[in-house]
Amino acid sequence: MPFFLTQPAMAWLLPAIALPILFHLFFRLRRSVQEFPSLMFFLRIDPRLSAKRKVHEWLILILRCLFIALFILALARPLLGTKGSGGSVARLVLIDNSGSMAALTPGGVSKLTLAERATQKLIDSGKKGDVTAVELMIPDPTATIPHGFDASPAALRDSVEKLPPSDGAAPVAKSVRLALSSLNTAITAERELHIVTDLQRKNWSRGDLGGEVLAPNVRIIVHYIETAPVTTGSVSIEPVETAAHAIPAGRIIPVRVTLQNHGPATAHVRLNTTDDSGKNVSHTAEVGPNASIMLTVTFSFANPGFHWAQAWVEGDVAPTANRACLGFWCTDVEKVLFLGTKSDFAALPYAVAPGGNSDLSGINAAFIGQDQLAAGLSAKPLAAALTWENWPADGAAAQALQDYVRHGGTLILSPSPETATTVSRPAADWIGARLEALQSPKDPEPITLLQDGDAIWHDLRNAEGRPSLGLLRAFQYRPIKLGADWKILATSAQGAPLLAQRNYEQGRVLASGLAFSPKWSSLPLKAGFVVLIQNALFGGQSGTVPVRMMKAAEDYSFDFTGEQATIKSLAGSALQWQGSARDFAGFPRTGVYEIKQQDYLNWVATTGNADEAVPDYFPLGPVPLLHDLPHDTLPLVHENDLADTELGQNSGLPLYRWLLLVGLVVLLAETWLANERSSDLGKRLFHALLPSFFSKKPAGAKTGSFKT
Amino acid sequence: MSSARAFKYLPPRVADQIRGLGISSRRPMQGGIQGLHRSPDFGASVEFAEYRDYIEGDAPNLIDWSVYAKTDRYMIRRFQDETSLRASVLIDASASLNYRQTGPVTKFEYACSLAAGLMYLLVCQGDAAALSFFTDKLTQRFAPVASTETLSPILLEMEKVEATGAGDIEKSMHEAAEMLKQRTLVIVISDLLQPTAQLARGIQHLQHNRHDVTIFHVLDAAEIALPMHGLVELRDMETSEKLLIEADEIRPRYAKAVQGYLAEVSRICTACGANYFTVETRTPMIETLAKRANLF
Repeated sequence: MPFFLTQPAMAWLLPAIALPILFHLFFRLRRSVQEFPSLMFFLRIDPRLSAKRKVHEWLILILRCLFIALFILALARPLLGTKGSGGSVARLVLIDNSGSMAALTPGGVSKLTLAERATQKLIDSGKKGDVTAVELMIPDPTATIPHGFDASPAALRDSVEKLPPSDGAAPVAKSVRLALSSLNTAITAERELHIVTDLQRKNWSRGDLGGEVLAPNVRIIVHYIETAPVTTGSVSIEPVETAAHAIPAGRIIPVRVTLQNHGPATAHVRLNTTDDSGKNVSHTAEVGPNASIMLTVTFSFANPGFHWAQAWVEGDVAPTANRACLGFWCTDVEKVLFLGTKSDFAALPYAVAPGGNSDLSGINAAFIGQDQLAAGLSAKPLAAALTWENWPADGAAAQALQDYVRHGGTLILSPSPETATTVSRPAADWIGARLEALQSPKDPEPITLLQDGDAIWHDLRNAEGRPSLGLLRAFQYRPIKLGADWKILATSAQGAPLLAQRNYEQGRVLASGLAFSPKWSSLPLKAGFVVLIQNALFGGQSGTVPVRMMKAAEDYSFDFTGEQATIKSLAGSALQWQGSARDFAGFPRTGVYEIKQQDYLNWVATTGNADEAVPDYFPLGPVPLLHDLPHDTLPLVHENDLADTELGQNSGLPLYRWLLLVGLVVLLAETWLANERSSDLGKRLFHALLPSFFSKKPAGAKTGSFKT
Repeated sequence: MSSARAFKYLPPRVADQIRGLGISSRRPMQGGIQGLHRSPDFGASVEFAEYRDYIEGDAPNLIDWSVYAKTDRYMIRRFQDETSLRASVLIDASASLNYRQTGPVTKFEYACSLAAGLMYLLVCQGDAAALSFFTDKLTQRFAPVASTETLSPILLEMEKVEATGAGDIEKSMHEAAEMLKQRTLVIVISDLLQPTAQLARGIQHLQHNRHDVTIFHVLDAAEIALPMHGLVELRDMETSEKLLIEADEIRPRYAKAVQGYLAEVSRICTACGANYFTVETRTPMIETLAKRANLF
């Protein structure tokens, strides 16, 4: 029968067994010698004195060592055997509350409901001395499940009643790790981790449990809930990309969403949208089996500030991932200053304000002279555009331009399309760049785009993630002579820099060697040209937007981790929470949430996780993620299926009580032996129990001889 | 005591307390001068001894004329002679007498005090007292003194004597028996740590030589009660032999052995006609002297 220690660290105390021996030797060395008139009476009465006493001393010494050994062993909480011994059990039930658990079982109830019932059954199965705890794979601030093993079964049972499903993907490996760690805090003979899950393949394929070692008295039982097969269309929705920057109020915001059908039949669904102004729009869509389509929905908000919108799929059987919440940060109508006339900038003003006004982009283009530059920049426009040839001669205007960029402004420099001369006023030294002579290649030179990850290529990347604007050709250009700190975005076939940007203190400078005219290159004629210019205008603002888009159940980091936070939901899943930011569990469901910390407001919009709608599950059997940890996978069709063998009836026999009892007996025996001289009964017993040879007189021993 | 100096073993206060006590002998003594003690000879005391027939040569004034008137016979009345007493005090000076545990003084100091008191008493009642120290033989002897003036030097010398070496009581008794030619009151002060058979032989030798023997057996109370506890390593004060004992364990048997030994010594002394006194060093000396003084 196996024997193991549940607190093996206590074994380090075992050398303490030697303490009585050390004390014995120490005091033996320190024994005093007394003078006595004569030893004749001692020699007369008992020449066997030493042998008997030695036996007595060694007996006491052995008992003391034995007591310490038993006490240390008891502290180490040893267990004998693992089956059928009836020791107390610590049971932790880990409920998979990921989005996929909202789907139905073949029995017609949701998997999460069955998980709740099974959990309640496990709680009720606890015997005297057993303790139970419940944890969710996705922490849920709306759930009132008590933490730890101290909760009463009744309170625990009530807390798992009607758990709301989440919309996120479960961090399975992380939650199993935490559960095992939590289980190790329980002081019981046997520990069980019950995982109630549907083994959704996407969830159970993430993460790694490598390095996790199971203690001998820990048992993992995976309760596998089967999912009803999907026979119809099952559509999930997921936004492709949303603007990470501020958007001018009034601008139409296109949002692309992907509708993916995970079912074997064509799905006819309706995509509904609504926003905080009450504007509702509906689209019908047809998604083929195991196919996906992309739709674009638009929103527009008249006022600056935070705005939210929702999109959801109607007429779908998918249990989750059929709702997305979006958040936007709108600014007032912006203005871009153009120093010069419209013809100096060719197509650039049209890319800034398509249609000639702010209706489409939320940006107005204003053309001013050099004498108006300083005043115009003082109003902090979104950007200022200059031609290399028209660098302000006025010192005050040039200084105002430098101050504007230094404090966060965006400056766009491009050559004038009609200027044929190569002689121009040099830009200020702080720009760190200048144009070189006009190049007019005989054959148009292809333009190469660089810096794949730069924000300026947002919405312009192909499937491979590379920026793509179609076939770009340069007919003439002026290479840019760049200093340090510049980042080249586009070059000619000869490698001459054509487009580059640099940060200057808090602002940015975008330098172009191409005039934005079709005579110079094919760029202005490309569909992505407007997007490119809009990205150039807003690319540097993403960090200042107080809106975060994320998937449900993803980790959220607060701006002030240790501070108090107040969270309330504006749309979607209801949530009202207040407390230390450290204690916040996360956003398990889709919704729009306002977060207040100190005097700052932030907003979070969460979407569902399309992976949760994928009806792909591991079959009943060993779980790959737990391959290094011994576990049993048992089917769970009905809560009554939980047999005794799954309810912790098998456990090791805890020996510590017995060890303490034996230790107590040893201690009593030691006390009796150490004091037996004071008790006649004890003395008689002691002498009676001694082996007879200790009582026999040794041959040749002195028998009462007197001194001579 | 006319000496201005206070003796260590006979302080003036003690001397004053014991002055009224007297010491006598069980046996008739042969002293040099007229004394208080019965003599084996006939003399001129008032104590009637016997009648005998008048024989020629006797002085006519010794004839008891009253008896002649009644019986018509010449009878002479004889009286018991009274003489002084010779005493010899023998003090055991072996190393074991240096033991002191529960008493106020060592056994040797107590023995010396007791001897000083006895000699003082004897001198005061007109007797002569000698002093000897012995270990395994008689080591130091002081001639008999019969006055306090001659006692003083002995008391001073006693203070210089130290107890040392191994003892042999029997041998010392034999030597004393051979040394003492006249009937003597022999007072032995010792811890008697020797087998009883040997002790018996020594006492018998003294008794055989018609000495009156008195034995003071001086003990420290710790020798009887064994007051130490636990494991104790003991070293013999005379032989330096060591022994490890568990005091609590053997105390009862030890006490029984000691009591048996004391009873045996007492029985032997009684059988030999010797006076035997067991004395603890805690006992005031005047009480010890009073025991002996009130004996007869």
